[in-house]
Amino acid sequence: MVFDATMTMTRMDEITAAAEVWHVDADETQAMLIDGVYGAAEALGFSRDGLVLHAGQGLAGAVLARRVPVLLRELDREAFEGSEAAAASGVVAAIGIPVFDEEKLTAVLVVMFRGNPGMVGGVELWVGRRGRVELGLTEAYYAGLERFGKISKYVNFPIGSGLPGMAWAIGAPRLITGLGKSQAFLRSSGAESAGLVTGFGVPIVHRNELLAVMLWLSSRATPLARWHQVWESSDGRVESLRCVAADGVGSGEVKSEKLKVKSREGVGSGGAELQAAITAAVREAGQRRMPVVFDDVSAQGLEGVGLGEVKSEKLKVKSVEGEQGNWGGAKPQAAGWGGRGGRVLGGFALPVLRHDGVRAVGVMAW
Amino acid sequence: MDRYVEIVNLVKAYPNPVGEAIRVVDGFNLNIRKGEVVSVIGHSGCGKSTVLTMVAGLNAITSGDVVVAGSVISGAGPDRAVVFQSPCLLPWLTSFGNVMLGVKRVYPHATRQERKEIVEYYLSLVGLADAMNKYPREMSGGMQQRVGIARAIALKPKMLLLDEPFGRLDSLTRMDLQDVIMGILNREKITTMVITHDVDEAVYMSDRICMMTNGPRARVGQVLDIPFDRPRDRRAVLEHELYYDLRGCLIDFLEKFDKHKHVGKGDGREGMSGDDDVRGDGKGVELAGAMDMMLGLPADDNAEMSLKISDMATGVVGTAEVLSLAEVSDGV
Repeated sequence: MVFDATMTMTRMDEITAAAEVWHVDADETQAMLIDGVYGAAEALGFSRDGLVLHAGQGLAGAVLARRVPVLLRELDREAFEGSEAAAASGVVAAIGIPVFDEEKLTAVLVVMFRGNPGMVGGVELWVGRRGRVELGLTEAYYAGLERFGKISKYVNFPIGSGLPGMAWAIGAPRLITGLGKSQAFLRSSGAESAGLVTGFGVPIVHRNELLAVMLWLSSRATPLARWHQVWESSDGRVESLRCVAADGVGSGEVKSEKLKVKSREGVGSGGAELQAAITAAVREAGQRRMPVVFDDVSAQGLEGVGLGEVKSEKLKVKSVEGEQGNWGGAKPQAAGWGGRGGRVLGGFALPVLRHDGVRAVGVMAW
Repeated sequence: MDRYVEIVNLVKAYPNPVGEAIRVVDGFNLNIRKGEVVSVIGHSGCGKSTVLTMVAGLNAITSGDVVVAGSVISGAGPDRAVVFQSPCLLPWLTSFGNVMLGVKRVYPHATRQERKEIVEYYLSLVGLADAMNKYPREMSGGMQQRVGIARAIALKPKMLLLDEPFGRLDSLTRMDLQDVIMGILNREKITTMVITHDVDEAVYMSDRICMMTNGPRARVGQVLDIPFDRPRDRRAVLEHELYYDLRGCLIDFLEKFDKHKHVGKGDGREGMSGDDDVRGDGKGVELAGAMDMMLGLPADDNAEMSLKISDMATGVVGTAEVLSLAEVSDGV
């Protein structure tokens, strides 16, 4: 199948609507919006330009006051600044994630979500319980995941178990693809029933101590993020950051920074422009020790979507199933990226910091 | 008290034939609140019973700690009463006599009449008011297990450890005894760990269910909160809107590990076959092994076992006595 440009571009039916970076001042009394990506919700972006919130005010202010992640399942006027503009863009929920540099809270990453009928996906916050030997679900936003959510609040994971426990154990983002069949994702049966395919867990830490694990759960049809990457640094230096895991549309595993991909189900490797944007965002996030957002990046040149095997950094695809073509035999409507015309609407790089440098950076793009 | 019982990084390793330590249980962590009932569920051989026997003090801990009410355990004690699959009653004693064994130990200063009343109270609690003078051979398996339960509760333990206590009983008797134990726990609020294979039993009886991964290197894989109020009514539990979702969650977990039992996948720590009964190279039978031998016998064989016990390590006898599983007289 040949790529059809008319199928594409920005739409209001992405679950993830926007991401913002808020800078916290030195005495931690106020947060200032310094960057944001809004995709199709341009009006929302304009309405928020130059916002400053004091501690306790709005979502970023709530994170500032409480110094923990805050997830809002409903956006009312008191809890979320500019709730009317958000509602006009279809935004129904948001999460605020604190980023600490040593003792100091330096930034808040805010991500907003839509909840149109038919959307399937979720964001969860898992925190320590029972003397911190287990992680339990403390807050979640679910779209089309009522049954999955109903039972999840009774589930707890010890360190090392399940996606939250694994992210906790390694202290870095963890990616699981093919959730429905995954041995590592312990709620796989529920995930399969709900149509979830990808889980991404990010530890939120303060001075090496876990505050929470944030999970992004994506379906194939309406993913929260179409692209996830985990970059880790072995020695805390930004220069040492290496991509250790990534996906695109299907299940894939990046084996090196050169993006040699050997797939199990499909492969995910972006075009050069997208990968360059991600790499730049990762480095910047590491250097500034802050979240970084990016948007409107071309994913043209994206090959290897679908069932195939990428054998080199040139991203040559050996198709093993389906029609031959630009997409390596993929069916774009199932493959996600293909159906969107190869443009990234938004994304962010979120650093996991430790006292002596950068432990890891998690990347999500939609 | 969120941490009335703390099981911290519990490890059990046995040497293999070439002397390498094989970790049957590897880093088991669990905190239990005072009065909470926690079931441990997992496939046969995953190490559930190994964990229980370590908590009971019947099986040496390779590393890690078990803390009960603020004290680190160092061996068996009447503060942790155990009910095994087999009741292990002493065949030469009546049900009254079997329960009295423990009562004498934990009420050393009580008068004869007070002890008698205590024994009668606990036997009545398990529905044996009319069978106090019966010998084990005169009782059904269910009745014998009731005596075993009364004997354990009479120790006034801080923690009750139930190792598949209904495993040998028919369905109806099993349900009866589940209700007997539930009634006692509702009244006495004893912190309890139950080892079971039975998903429905776990959901009905527990406040939380701890699911273990397959051994070797078994650990806690997932813990499920059971949000049903107490006291529980079986019919109300079965009709609860969450019942089948909770049950499904347990079955999903068990199926996941069953499917992969012999195929190492995932994070590399799970999926291998294992066996509770791994005991290394057989050099030196551990206390738990000896206890298992003794406790694994049908009730009718206990008389024969009582003759063999003199051949066992004195520690075994001592432990059995502490748990009221044996009677030791001068000269024995």
